[in-house]
Amino acid sequence: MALYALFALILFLLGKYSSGLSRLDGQRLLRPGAGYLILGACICFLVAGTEAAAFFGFPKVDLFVAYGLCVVLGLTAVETLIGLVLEIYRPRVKGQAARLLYESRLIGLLGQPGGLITTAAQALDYQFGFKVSETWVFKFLKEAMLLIILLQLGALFLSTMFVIIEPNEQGLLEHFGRPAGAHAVLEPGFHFKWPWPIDIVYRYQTRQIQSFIVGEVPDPDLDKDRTVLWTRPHFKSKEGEGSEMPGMLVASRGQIARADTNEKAVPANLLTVSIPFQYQITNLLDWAYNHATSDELLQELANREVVRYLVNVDMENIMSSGRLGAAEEIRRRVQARANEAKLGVNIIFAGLQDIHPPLGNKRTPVAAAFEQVVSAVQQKQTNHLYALAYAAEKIPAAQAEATNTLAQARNAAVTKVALAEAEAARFTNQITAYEASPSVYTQRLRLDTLARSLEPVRKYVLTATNTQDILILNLEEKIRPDLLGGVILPPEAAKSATPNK
Amino acid sequence: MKRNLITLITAAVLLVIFVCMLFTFQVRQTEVAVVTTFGEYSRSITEPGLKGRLPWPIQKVYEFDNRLQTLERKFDETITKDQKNLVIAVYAGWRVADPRVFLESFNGDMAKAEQKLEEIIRNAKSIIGRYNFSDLISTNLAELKFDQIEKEMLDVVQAQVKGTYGIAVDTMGIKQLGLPESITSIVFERMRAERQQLIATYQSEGDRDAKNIRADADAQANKILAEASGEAKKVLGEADAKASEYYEAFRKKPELAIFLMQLNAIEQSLKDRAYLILGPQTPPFNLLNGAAGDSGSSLKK
Repeated sequence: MALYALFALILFLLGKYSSGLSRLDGQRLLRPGAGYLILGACICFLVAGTEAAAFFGFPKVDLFVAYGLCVVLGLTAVETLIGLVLEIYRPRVKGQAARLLYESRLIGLLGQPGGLITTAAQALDYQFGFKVSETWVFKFLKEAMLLIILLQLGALFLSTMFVIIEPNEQGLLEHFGRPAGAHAVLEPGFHFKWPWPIDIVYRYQTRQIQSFIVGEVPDPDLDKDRTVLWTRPHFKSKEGEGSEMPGMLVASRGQIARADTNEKAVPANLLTVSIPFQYQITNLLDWAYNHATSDELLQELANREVVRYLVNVDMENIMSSGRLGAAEEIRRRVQARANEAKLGVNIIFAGLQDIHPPLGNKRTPVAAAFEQVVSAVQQKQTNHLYALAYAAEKIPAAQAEATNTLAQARNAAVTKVALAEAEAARFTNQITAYEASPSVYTQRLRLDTLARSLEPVRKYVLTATNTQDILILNLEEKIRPDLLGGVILPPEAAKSATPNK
Repeated sequence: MKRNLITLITAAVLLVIFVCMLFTFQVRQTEVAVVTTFGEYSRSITEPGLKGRLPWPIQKVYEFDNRLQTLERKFDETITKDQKNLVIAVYAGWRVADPRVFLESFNGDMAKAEQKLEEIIRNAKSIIGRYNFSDLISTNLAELKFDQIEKEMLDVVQAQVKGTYGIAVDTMGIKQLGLPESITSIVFERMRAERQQLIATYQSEGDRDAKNIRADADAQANKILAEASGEAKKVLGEADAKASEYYEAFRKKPELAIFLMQLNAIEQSLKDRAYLILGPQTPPFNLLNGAAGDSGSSLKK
């Protein structure tokens, strides 16, 4: 602090000295430097002041000072930039000395406290190339400046005597800090009131539907996907990985039943939950006066009710059939708690559309396992249906085959009986022929049979009985039947036709 | 003269504003205030409105928000009676109950008050150690003591802050329950194992059902075919029986019947491709011997 104060003093002395010198002929170039030295002195002085304020228990002063300095330096930069542009279009007057480009009039005020009006007049004269400061308009403004400022302030003061409330708002009118009786709540429209600081109006967006999310907050970047899947991350936090609280605890009927077998096991599961709530402020006085941060309290209450609901409900149930009922029940409970806390809100909607098993991590993908269960159920049903299809095909086919077998048997039976009957009748007739000449009849039958049955048969008749030759007959199919079939060869010819002898 | 009048009026207005600022102050509906005179407590103001005061540095006014403040602190790991680790976060609603005590205790600093209150709340969380895990998380409503635990924590905190801190804690609740990260990964593993068990169950049930249905269908089909086969044999048997009645005719000349059957057998056996090598003595091919010069002798025989 002391060091900054010392710097401030040295810079101030140097700056004032330079500023004084710059008024001499030929020393004008010292003017910008003098201004910046005094600016440096002011900054050092302010820094020393903020340190002193922090020492005396006002640590936030330095923040405001920092903001103020940023604004001043920003203005200086803008002024320099504008000066650079204007310098291009400035009319050149003979004998008039040019200003240095980096010379700031704002900072120059520190070194030459000749008044704002004088500085402005000098700037105008310089920019336009003639004595603007000697015109009647400028002289009038110079004379009436105080009055104009007072009128402006008066108008500003009078403007605090009315207020316009927008359609989505309500206003809270306080008279000396106390709610203004029956007219404390101002509806949309135009309203008169006592001027500030007697009456003050605070605006609240009561008619606007407001919302917050309990649980994971959807990531707008990841949420661009048209399809939201359990197995794809779609929340801001790293769902189920690395975050301190990956999901909410939810009771599990199955796990509780098994817990006796392992005392250390935690009889609960984790669910990723993202529940949007929508609400409207219905009682502005309650909303504004009962709680310092009513919106935060409402979120806490909603969070509490969601946790309270989940610890007493079965995970399987809430993810399936109980989902819709759960959303309404949670909304009802949050409304009850908000009424109890006199928050003055109406909970319009609680959505339970995003409640699912956590994504898990690379080693243990939990959500994917849940999807695989559904796949397994589908596969089970598929196998069942395939088996039914097999049965549907197999049994009728067997029935058809059975019918066929039975029909064939019946046909064979009929044939057999008919043949037997016919053969018996024929045989009776043949007896007569046989008894007439047994040898002739039998010989005739034999020869008829041979002639009939040997007709398509390939026949080899060996006529020579006393030859020493060995006949080898190739009976393979490749022998063309038309060459040898039915031809009776004499021994010589047969000998020559035999391929292997 | 005119300029002097304006200056005079301006100065008068500024003076009036300055005097008002020095001798009055407003207390809003949402505020309470403590007035001290030369550092000594003078009075507390709990009603809103325009109030009078002596100018600084004689009197100083401290204003506090008298609405319910929401305090939400970080997660704390704790352990239940049945030795299960839990991560718990609570919220509390507190307000300035006695402005004078609050000023003396915390120099009017809300942040300091919240810091002290947080320590008390963290201490109250140890109540969890008196309860089992199932008292906090259970599908059985009769077993659940969630509300009771919250109330006990609130009672502990209220008793602690009463009269000493100038604040009152009106509400308190469990905002979040969770598990430490190391246990979370184990729970993930278990959840996944549960699903794997279900997957295996569904797959094996599916296979079993399919096999049962197929086996049942096969059995039914076999039964149908066997019954049909039996019925067919029965029909053929009946046909044999009926045909045998006609075979009585063959008894009249058995040697002829046998001869006919032999002929029939020969005819049937030569139906398909066959090669027959016959000797020259086989009738009627014995006639061929005559073609070689012995046909006349053959006719003589």
